[in-house]
Amino acid sequence: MAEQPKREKTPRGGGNGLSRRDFLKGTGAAVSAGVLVTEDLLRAQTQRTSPVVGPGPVPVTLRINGQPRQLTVEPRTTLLDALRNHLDLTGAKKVCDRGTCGACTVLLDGRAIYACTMLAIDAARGQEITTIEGLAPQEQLHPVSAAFVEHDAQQCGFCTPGFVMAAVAYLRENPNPTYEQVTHALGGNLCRCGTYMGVRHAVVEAALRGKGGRS
Amino acid sequence: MAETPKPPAQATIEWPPAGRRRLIGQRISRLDGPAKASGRAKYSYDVNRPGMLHAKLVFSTQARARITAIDTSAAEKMPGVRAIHLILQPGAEVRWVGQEILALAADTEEQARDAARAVKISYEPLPHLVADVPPEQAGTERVQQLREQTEGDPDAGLQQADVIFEGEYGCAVITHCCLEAHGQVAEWNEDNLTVWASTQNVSGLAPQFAQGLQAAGIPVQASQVRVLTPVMGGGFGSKFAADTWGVACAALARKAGRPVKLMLERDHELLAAGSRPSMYARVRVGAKRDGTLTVWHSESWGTGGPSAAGTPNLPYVIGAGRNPVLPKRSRHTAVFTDIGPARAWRAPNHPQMCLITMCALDDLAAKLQMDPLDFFLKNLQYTERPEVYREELLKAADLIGWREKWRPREEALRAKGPVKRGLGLSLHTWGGRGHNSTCQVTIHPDGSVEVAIGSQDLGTGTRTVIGIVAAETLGLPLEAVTVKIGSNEYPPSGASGGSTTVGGVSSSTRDAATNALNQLLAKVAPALGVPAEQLEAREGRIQVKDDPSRNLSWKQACARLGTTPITASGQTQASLISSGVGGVQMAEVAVDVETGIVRVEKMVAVQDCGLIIDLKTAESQCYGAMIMGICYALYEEKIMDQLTGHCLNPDMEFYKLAGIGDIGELVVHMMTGPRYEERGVIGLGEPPVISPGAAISNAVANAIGVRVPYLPLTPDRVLAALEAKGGAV
Amino acid sequence: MIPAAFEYHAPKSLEEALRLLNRHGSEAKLLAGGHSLLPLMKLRLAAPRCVIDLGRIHALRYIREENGRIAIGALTTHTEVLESPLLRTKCPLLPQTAWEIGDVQVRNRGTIGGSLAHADPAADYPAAVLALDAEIVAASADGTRTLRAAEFFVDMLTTALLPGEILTEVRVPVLPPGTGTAYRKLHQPASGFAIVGAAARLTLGSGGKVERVAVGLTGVAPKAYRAAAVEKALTGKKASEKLLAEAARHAVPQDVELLSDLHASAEYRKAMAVVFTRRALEDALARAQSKKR
Repeated sequence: MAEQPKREKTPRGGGNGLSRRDFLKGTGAAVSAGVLVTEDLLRAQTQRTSPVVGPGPVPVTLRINGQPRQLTVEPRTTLLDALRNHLDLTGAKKVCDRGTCGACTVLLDGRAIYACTMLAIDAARGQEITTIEGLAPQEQLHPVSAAFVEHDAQQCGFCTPGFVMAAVAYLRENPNPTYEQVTHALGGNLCRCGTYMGVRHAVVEAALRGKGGRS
Repeated sequence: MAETPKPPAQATIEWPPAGRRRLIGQRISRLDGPAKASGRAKYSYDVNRPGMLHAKLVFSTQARARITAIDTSAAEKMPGVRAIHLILQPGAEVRWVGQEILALAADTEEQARDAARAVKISYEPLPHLVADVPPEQAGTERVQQLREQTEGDPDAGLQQADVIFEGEYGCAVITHCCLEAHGQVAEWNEDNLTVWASTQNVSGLAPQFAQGLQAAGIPVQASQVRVLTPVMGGGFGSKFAADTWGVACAALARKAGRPVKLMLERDHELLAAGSRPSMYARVRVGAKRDGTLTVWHSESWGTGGPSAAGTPNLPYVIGAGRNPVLPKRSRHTAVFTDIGPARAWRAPNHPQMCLITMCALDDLAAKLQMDPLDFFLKNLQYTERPEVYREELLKAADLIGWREKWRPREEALRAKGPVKRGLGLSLHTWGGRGHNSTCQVTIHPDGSVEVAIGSQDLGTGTRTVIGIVAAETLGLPLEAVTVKIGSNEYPPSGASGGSTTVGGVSSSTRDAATNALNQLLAKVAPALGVPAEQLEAREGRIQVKDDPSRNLSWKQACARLGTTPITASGQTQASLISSGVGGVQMAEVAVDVETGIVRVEKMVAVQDCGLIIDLKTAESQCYGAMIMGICYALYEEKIMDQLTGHCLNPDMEFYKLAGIGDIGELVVHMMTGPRYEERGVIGLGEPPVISPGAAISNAVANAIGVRVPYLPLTPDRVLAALEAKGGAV
Repeated sequence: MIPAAFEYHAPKSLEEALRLLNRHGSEAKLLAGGHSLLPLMKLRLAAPRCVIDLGRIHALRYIREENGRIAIGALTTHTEVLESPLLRTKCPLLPQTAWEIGDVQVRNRGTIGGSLAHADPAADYPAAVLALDAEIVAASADGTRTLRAAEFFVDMLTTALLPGEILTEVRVPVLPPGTGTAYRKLHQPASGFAIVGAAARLTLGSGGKVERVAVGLTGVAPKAYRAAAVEKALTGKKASEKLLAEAARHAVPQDVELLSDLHASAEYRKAMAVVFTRRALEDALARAQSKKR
C-alpha cells in the first residue's frame, strides 16, 4: 500500500435512495463503485465456486461499525493490521500479536475476539465488526469507558481499549456480574501497569448502573 | 539547566495550607482518561502519516559472533522496498540475540517483513555465555568484582551474635515488556525532522537523534528535531534513548523521502528493549537472642548483560541508618553475559536488594522463633526513619490482620488440606526529589489558560498533576486549564525516571502559575483599589483577601490584559519537594503444596510520599506496582538457553504477566496528614514496586515452612524446596 | 503479522472444500477458528501455499441429538459448546472442558473440530473426547468414516486423519443417570494451555460401586491418552476418597513418554498427572453422588 490510508466516507448500503447507476455517476464514484463491484463479484463467484484469491493484495469489504469499508489487503493480513494500517482505526492495539494479551479485542457479531488472530479476508463475509471507535459517537463516552475513567482503570492506557471492548461484550450478555465473574470474563486481557483493581470496579459499576450493554 | 531571572515574588513559594486546598490531595480522574478509554488517544504506534512506509529490523540471531557478511542484494529487489540502512557493518561483533544489524523500509508492513527475511547475514560464531551463573562459573574474563563495603566491625558483630543464619537468595533477569513497543514514526520536512516517539524523555531525545544521524552521515542539528509524545504506552525505565532503531527510522525516512514507522515486534521488544539485572547473594546475618541484629555479611552477584549494573547497597533499609550503625561487610561481583543490555527497571536494584535483605532477616526471625513483625519492629533503629516505619508497620499489620492470622512456619504447614496459608512483610525506601523542569503558564485575555511543559505522561498521571497544580494556584476549576505536554517545543523538562517527575513538574508549575498570577494581580490591582499583595485568586475570582466581596471574575480580570497574554515561566523549586519515602507491604498467600502453585490472596501497601497532588492516581501507582510485583514474584523470567544463546520465551504466551485473576485483594493506604504533607511533594513511581517480591517470598516461606530461595516462585521451585525439606507434612 | 503469503480459498460447501483439498494436497491447510493455525503460521511452523477457510460452510456448525448421541459439527465454537443447554444437561464434560479453554476471545473463535484436528499435546478437548469414548467423523471425496477417539490421536500434532480428509463431526454419548464428570487442569500460566489436563467420567452403580469410569489425560505426553490402569483400579469397587487417591497413582503408565519443556519438567508433569487425575475423579464422584441422591 503505497498511498496514505484514507478515512473514506462510505455510504450505507441500501436505503439511501440512490441506484447503483447514481453511484457510478456521483461524486463518490471511485470508492463507492468499488464497494458494490466487489460485493457483486464475490456474490457471483461464491454462487458458482469459491473465490480463489491472493497471495497478492485483493479487494475486500468489511462491515465495520455499521459501515461497509473497502480496502485492499493480502490474504495473510490480519484483521488487526487491516484496521490499523489500512483503515486508520487504531483503537485496537498491537501488543503480543499472538492471541494472548487482548489489546486488539474487537467485537465480531457482538462477541469479543482477538483481531490479531483472524484474517481480514475471513472477516469479509458480512460479519459485523465493532471496534472501540464504534462504541460511541465522537465527543461522547460509552458508559463502560466512562466507568474506566471514573475508577482509574487505566494508566498508560495501551491495554484499555481492549479491556473496554471485552467488558462491553461481556456486559451485554451478563448484565449483573459479580467480581469473580468479571475476573473470569476479562482473563483474556493483560495490563502491564497493573490496573486490574480499577478494571474490576469499573466493570461492576458499569453493570450496576445498568448501562453496560447500552451503546 | 540555566538559571533564569525570576520576577519579584510576593512571598516565598509554598503549597497552599491544608485547609485552603480545593484540588490538591483530592481524588481526581486523569485528564487524558476519556481519550484513552475511548481509543481516541493516538500513541506513536497509532500515527499513520500520508505516504508512510513501514520498517522492519534485521537483528542478530547469534548471542556472540562476528559479522562476516551482510547481503542485502535480494532484499533490495523485493517489491515495495524503498530504503535500507545498515546499523552495523561487516566485521562488527554482535553481543546478544536481538542486536540490531540493519533496518529497511517498504510500502507495506508485509513487504518490509518479506524483505527483512531476504537479508542474509553471515557470522563467525564466538563463545557465548547466557546462563545466569555465579562468578566462579563464569570465567575470570567475565567477572568484575565491585567495591567491597564495610562498616563498623563485622567480625565483632559475628562474635556478638547469639544466632546466625546463612542463606542464599536471588531473582532472575526479567524484562520491561512495555505494551506499546519501543519505536517511532519519523518524518522529514526539508531539513527538519519530526519524530513521534514512545519515550520517557521527550525533551532529551533531539540531541540524541542529531548525534546519531550525524554519525550516519545525515547532518542535522538538535534544533531541527521535533519530538512528540502526547501519550505513551509504558516505559518503566526502558525508554530514555533515541536507540539504534530510532536513528535508523529517521535515516530510512531521509533516504526514502517518505515518513517511516518502525515499531519493534514483540519478540524483539523482549529480546533487546530492556531487562532488569538479576541479583543473587549468599548472606550471613546474626542477632542477639532478643532479636537485635548484630551483623550483616553478603557476597552478591548478578548479570546486567554486557555491562555492570551498579553496586548494590546491602543490607537494604535495615542497616542503612547511621545511628546506630549495623556492622556489615558486603561484596558484589558483576557477571557479564550475552543476554542483551539491561535498562533501568522501575527502582533500579532496589527490588533485588530488598528481596535479599528482607528474606534473610525473615529467615533469621524464624530461626529465632520470633514473629517477623516483632523482629522488624525491634530493628527499626537501624533504619533512617524508625518512627515512619513503625507507624507504617502497625498500620499494615492492622489492615491485613497480622496479629490474628500470623502463625509460626511449622504451624501453618500443619493446616488441613493441600492449601497452606502464610503472611510475609517487607520494607522499602526510595529517594525522589524533582528533576529540572521548566514550565510556562500563559493567561490569555479571554481567560483561557495554557500550561506547557516538555514532559511526558507515562501513565502515572503527570498531565493531571500539572493541571491540578495550575488550577489550584490560579483559583480555577481543573477544566479551565489546558495542559500541554509531550513535545520538545515546550519548555524543557527532565526525563521521567527515578520518581522525579512529579516533584519537578508540580513545583515548576506552582512557580510558573504563581508568577503568572502575580502579573495578573498587578494588572488588576488598580481596578480593585488595593495593592496586588492584598489580592488572591479563589473560586474563579480575583478578590481582596480581607474583603472577598470586592472582586472581579476571572474573565473580567483577564479582559484587562487588553490584547497581550501574560506568560510566565517557573522552575523546579527545591522548597516544594522532598526526597526519601518509606513503605511497608504485607502479603497473604495460599500455596497448594501438591502443585506448588502460589496464589496471592491479599496484599497491603502502606506508603508515604509527602504531599499527594492526586490521591486517585497516587493510589493507582501503588496498586499497579503491587501487581507488577506479583508478576516478578511469581511469573516473570527471561529464560535463556545456554546451548543456542537464545531466549526461549520472547513472547507473551510464555513470558507470563499476571492477569486480572492472579492478584487477589489489594489494599492501599497512603500516609497523609501534617507530618507527611509538610515535607512537600515526593515521587511515587518506584517505591511501591520494591517490596512485593520480598513480602510474597516471606509469605510463602511462612506458609510452607521453608524458603524458596529464588524468584520467580514457580511451582517446581516450591515443590523442590518442600522436597528438600522432607515433604509437605 | 503472518510472515509468508498464501492463496486463500473460501468454499461454501463441504464438497467444494474436499475438492480443493484434493487439488492442493499437502500444500493446503484448513482454517477454522484460526487459533491453532494462525499462531503456527506466525511462528513459521506452518507456511502453507494455500489456506482453505472452512468458515463459510455453515452446515458444519450445529449441536443436535441423534440416535442417543449428541452430534457436534466441527465448526462449533468453544463458546457454543460451553453454552449448549443440550450438552450441559446430557454431556456436561464437554462444556466443563470448554470453560477451561484459553479465554473468552479464544472460545468465541476456536472450534472443536479445529482443536481436535490440530492435536496439540496441550489442548483440552482431547482428554474429554477420550473419556467420553467420542466418535470422530471424517469426510473425504470417497465418503465418510467414523473413528473412535482412542484411535484418533496418533502423535504430537498428528491424527489418524488421512490426506484429503476433513473432520466434520464429533459424537459424544448422552451420559446415563448416576454419572458425574469433571475436567481439572493445571494451566500454563501465560498461554492457558494445559500442562496437565484430566477429564474424568464416573458412573455409580448400586451400593456406591463404580460401575463405569473413564479418565483422559492431556498435556502429559505427546498425545492425549486414556489412563487405563486408573480405570481398572476403580471399576467395580466402592468409591471412596482413599480409593480414588490410590487409583490416581496409576495415571502415568510406564510406557508413556513424558513431555518436558520450559513450562514443566517430565518429573513435575508426572506428579501433576496424579494430582489432577485424583482431583478430577473427586469432582466427578461428588457430582455422581449428588445426582444419585
